[in-house]
Amino acid sequence: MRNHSTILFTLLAVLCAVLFVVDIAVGSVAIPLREVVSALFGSGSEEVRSIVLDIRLVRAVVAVLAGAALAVSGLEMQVLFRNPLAGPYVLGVSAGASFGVALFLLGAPILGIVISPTLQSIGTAGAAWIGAAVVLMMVVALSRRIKDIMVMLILGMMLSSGVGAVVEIMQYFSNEASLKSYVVWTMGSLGDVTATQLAVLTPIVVVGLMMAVATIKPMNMLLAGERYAASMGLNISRSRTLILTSTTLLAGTITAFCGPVGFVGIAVPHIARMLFRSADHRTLLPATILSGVAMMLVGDILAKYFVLPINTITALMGIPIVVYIVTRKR
Amino acid sequence: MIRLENISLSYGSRTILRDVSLHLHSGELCALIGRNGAGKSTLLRALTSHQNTIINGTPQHNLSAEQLAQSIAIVTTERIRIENLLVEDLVAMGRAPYTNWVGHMQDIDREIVGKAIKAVGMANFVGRDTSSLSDGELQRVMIARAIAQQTPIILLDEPTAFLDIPTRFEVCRLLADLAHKEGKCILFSTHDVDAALPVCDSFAIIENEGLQKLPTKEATSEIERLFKR
Repeated sequence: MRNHSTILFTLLAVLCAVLFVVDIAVGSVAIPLREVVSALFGSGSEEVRSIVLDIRLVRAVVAVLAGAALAVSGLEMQVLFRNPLAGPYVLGVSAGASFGVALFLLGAPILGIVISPTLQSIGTAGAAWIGAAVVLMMVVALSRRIKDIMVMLILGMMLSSGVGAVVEIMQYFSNEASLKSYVVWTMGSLGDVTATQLAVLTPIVVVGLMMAVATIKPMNMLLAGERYAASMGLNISRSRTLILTSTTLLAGTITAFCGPVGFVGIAVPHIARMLFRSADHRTLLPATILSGVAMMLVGDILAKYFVLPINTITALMGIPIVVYIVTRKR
Repeated sequence: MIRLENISLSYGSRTILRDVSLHLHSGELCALIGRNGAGKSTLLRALTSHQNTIINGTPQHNLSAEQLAQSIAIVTTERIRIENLLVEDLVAMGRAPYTNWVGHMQDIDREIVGKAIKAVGMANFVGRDTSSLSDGELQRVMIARAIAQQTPIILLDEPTAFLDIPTRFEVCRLLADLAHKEGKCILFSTHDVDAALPVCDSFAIIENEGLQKLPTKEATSEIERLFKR
C-alpha cells in the first residue's frame, strides 16, 4: 500500500515536470526544445529568452498554481459538505468574483466612466478579488450562525443564481465592447497574468495551501460527519472557518486573475482518490495538488495548441470524469 | 461516573423532559427506553453538551474539547460508508483525541486499534473497505471506533436498529462485556427490550416528560406496562 503510493507520487511528480517543460515549449512561436531549455538556464538569444522567461514561464507557473489551488479547494469543499459534487465554486466564490468584474467592466461604462487598457487588467483582478472576499466574509459570518452545513450549500447556490441574474441585467444594458471584455473574462485565461501580478498571486496561493495542510486532520475527522468529529474533540466552527478561508484564498485569487476555470476543482480530487485508493488526506492532499497541476498543464498545452479558452478545455476534460464518477457501480 | 442534574429539555417549542436527573456509574450497562419521540436521542445529546452534566465530578463545561473527547465516546445512528476508507482507518479515527496535529499514529495507537477491532469480532475484516460492509458489520466497526477512543463512558443511539435478531443479541452481549469486563459506563437507547433485558444492569425509562431509572429486576413490570399493553 505504502509502496503503491510512493511509486505513484514519483510518477506524478515526473509527469508534472515533463508537462511543465512541454507547456513552456508549446506556443504561437515555434521554438525548438533545446533552445527552450537553454533559455530556461539563462543562455540563448535575447528574443527567445524574453519569450520563454517573460511570457511562457510565467504562464506555466500560473497554470501550476491554478491547478493546485482549484483542486485543493475542491477537495476541501467535498469534505466539508460531504458531497462528491461540491467544488470550489459552490459557496458563490466565482459568483462573487464575477459580480465584482461585472460591476467593473459593465457597470463603469454604464455610468459613463472610461477605463484605460492598463487599468482594465489590474482593475478586473482587483474587482474579482474584492467580490470573492466579500462573499467569503458573508459565508464565514453565516457559518457561525447556521448549524446545518447543507443550509450553507443551498445558500451558496441561491447566492450564485441571484448574482447571476443581476449580472445578466447589467449585460443587457451594456455596450458591445464592455460586454465582450466581460464574456472573455468568464472564459478564463492563464496568459493574462503578468510577472508583477504573479508576485501577488504566488504568496496568497502558498498561504491558502498551508492552511489546507493545517486542515488535514480536521478533514480526516469530518469524513465521519460533524457530530462524530465534534465528539472526538474537533472544534467544528474553527475548522469550518479555516477550510472556508483556505478555499476562498485559493479559488478566489485564481478566479480573480484567471477567470472562473470550471471542473478542475470537482474532478481532480476524484482522480486523486481513484489513483491512490485512499481516504486519508495526508495522502490525498499532495495527490490532489499533483493531479491538479498535471490536469491544468495538459489543459494549458491544449488551450495553446488549439488556441481555445482554458475554461472550455477544462470543462471538456472534467465532465467525462464527473459523469464516470456518478454513474459507475450504480 | 456521569450525572445529569435537574435537566429540562425541549425540542423546538415542545418540552420533552421536565426536571429530570440521571446517575450512572462505571461498569454499568443501562438501556434507555421510551416511545418514539419521547426524547431518547435528545437526552443522549444532552449528556455530551448540557451544562448540568457532571462527568467524573467535573461539570461538562469545565472540560476542554479534548478532555471531553477522552471521557465520552458516541455511536450515532448514522452509518459511515466511505469508499477507500478501510475498517482499520475508521476505527483509527477514535485515536484522534490522542494524536498530533496531522493525526500521526504511533505503535501504541495501532495496537489499541487492533485490540478494539478484535474486541468486536471483526479481526477478519481488516483491510476491507467500509463501503462494502453490511449494517451489522458496520455497527461493530462503529463500536470498535468508540472503544479505540478509550473513554470511560460510551453512549450509543439505537445500536441495534436495522439489525437482524441474532445480531441484535450479539451487539447487546458485546456491550455487556465492555461494561462488566472493562468497567465502562454504557448507556444505549433501544427499542429492543428482549435483547436488552438479559444483559442490562438497569433501565432508564422516559415517559410523560419524566425519567426514572430502575434496576433490571424492578424494571420488567414497568417495561411490560409501557411496551406490551
